[in-house]
Amino acid sequence: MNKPLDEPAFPSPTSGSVAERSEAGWGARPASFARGSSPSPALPEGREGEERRVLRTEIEDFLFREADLLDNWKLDEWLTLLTDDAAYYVPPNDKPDADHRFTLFTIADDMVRLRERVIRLKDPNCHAEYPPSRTRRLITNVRIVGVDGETIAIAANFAVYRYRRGEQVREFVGQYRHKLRLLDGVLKIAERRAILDAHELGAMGSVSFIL
Amino acid sequence: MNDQYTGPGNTHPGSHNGHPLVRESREKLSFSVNRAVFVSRELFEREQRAVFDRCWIYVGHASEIRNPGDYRTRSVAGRPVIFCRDRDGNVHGLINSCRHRGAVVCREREGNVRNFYCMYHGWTYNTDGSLRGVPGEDSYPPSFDKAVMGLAHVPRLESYRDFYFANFDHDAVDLATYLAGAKSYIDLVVDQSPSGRMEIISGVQEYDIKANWKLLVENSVDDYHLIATHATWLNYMRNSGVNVSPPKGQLLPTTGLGKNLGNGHLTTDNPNYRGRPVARWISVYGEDAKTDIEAIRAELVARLGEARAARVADTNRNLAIFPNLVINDGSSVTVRNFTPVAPDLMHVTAWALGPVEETEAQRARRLHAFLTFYGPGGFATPDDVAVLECAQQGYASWREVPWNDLSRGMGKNEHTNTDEEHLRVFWRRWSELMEARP
Repeated sequence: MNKPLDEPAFPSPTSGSVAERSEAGWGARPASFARGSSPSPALPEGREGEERRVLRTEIEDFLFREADLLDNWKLDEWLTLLTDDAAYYVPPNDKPDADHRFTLFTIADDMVRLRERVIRLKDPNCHAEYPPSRTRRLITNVRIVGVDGETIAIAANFAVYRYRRGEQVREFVGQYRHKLRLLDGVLKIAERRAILDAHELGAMGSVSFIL
Repeated sequence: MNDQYTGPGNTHPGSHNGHPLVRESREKLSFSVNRAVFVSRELFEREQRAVFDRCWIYVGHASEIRNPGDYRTRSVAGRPVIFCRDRDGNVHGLINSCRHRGAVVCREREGNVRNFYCMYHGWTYNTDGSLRGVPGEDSYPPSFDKAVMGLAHVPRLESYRDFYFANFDHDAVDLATYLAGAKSYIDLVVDQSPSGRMEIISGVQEYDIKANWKLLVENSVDDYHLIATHATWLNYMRNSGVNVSPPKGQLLPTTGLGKNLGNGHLTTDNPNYRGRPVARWISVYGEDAKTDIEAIRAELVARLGEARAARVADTNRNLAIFPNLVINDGSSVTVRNFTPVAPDLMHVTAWALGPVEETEAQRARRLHAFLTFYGPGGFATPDDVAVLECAQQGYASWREVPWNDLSRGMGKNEHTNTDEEHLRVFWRRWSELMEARP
């Protein structure tokens, strides 16, 4: 693959009790967070200052729940999983590691356009997705690849099968590289990046649903 | 090759099983296209020879091969082609096939090389195509002449304002003559750069549409479909504070023209309401972009004068260069090339084009605007794809329902962008070529 994960998506944590990397590799141990002077409501009273530890299994549960919402077209509920300043990217197939400010992406939504995308997807006039495609997402190889303050960089492999009546199945295979953020102790998506493995979109055609 | 169609007034030449491919009546004001042209394998093969082997076909843009040794591999009229710049800076269109046994000698999408290497027997070629090395050369007979065994070149390669085209017909008219009235619309694109230098922006969109390629020509310039097909995009514009309400009795917010540019080329030419990076602000760009776009506008006026600046910055043009290149010059500039693969399948390749001088903020704004409408993840293109695929599905009944209607606007003196006169321009030229096949 041309997208190695040798380097974490964030610089190494420099202070505090944030997650330590070990020889055992990312994901083997939890990402931990010192709550410090900003006590988290998620922690019981009197335990402010303790670590809020995020386990890989917790990330997995979060991604599985997200996948379930998307596969069931519960898009408004899905939006609540995102931070107010979230972004959603699908890089072009020929430049998977590029920056959307300098490179033409397939999708590069800020939160304003992402909300509009959901409005569009719920509209029967969204011809590419009406009736809505049936999709099934398989998510595996979930890893925590970096931690910076309250932000956790994760990687996960995906296979999304998209079915429409009378059509051959269309398979979207690739890797998610998200940035999740703990907001008041709750995981949210701050940046959602779906990187496709194929050299071109080709028979996948459009990315008209949320990938 | 005239700017105005002067052919026979009734039935157009070219036929399929004894039926005309395109049928026009000047008396009855009717124009229909035989649906066989979208499904017939025989017509598809004829089209490859009569249209794609005779017309100028887009290859690439000079900015994609800036430096000596730069190359891009492309499919041009069905042939594997290396679009490259040699060590001396000359641009070539090389046929990507070893002269020995035919294997492609360059398999990467793009890059920079000293030479091309055939992995079969190790022949190497210079970037000007000449044969450089043959392993075990001493075993070849005296008649073997390395000097004539270089990679073949496309028969003709010419450019207009950095857009390179190839022609597989040695006897074709030169590119400038061929482009006819389309040249002035390419000029309107290039004039957006202070130095007259536009560049293809990194990142390519390549996707299939399960429909006949001619449907995308129609769709790219057909403004009649906007209201029904792109209702969700119009809604997004409305939600973003852009006035998209048509005046009473009109279909769209502004009324533009559909123009015949000669030789089958055509364009829409519309007063802008959708915003332009160069240079008309709309609310979608955000308040902080206002001053910057005003500055771009001021540069245009200083360089081109008020009238020309307004021509560049206040109209949107969807330009179709016959047969298979579309340049959408509006909310961004897209260069969209499409290649027929089968009667019911095309490969689409789309790029964004921008002035080389753009700042980071301007470039980001252009790309953001591009994705709002265009591309496989845009708010409009996926619906176009869906519509074209639905049309293709409908043509399975071509025997029972043989004709598409394209009579909209016939008999009018002036043709608007929501009429179909500019679509008829394409079809007249296409059927002319189909009849004149060698």
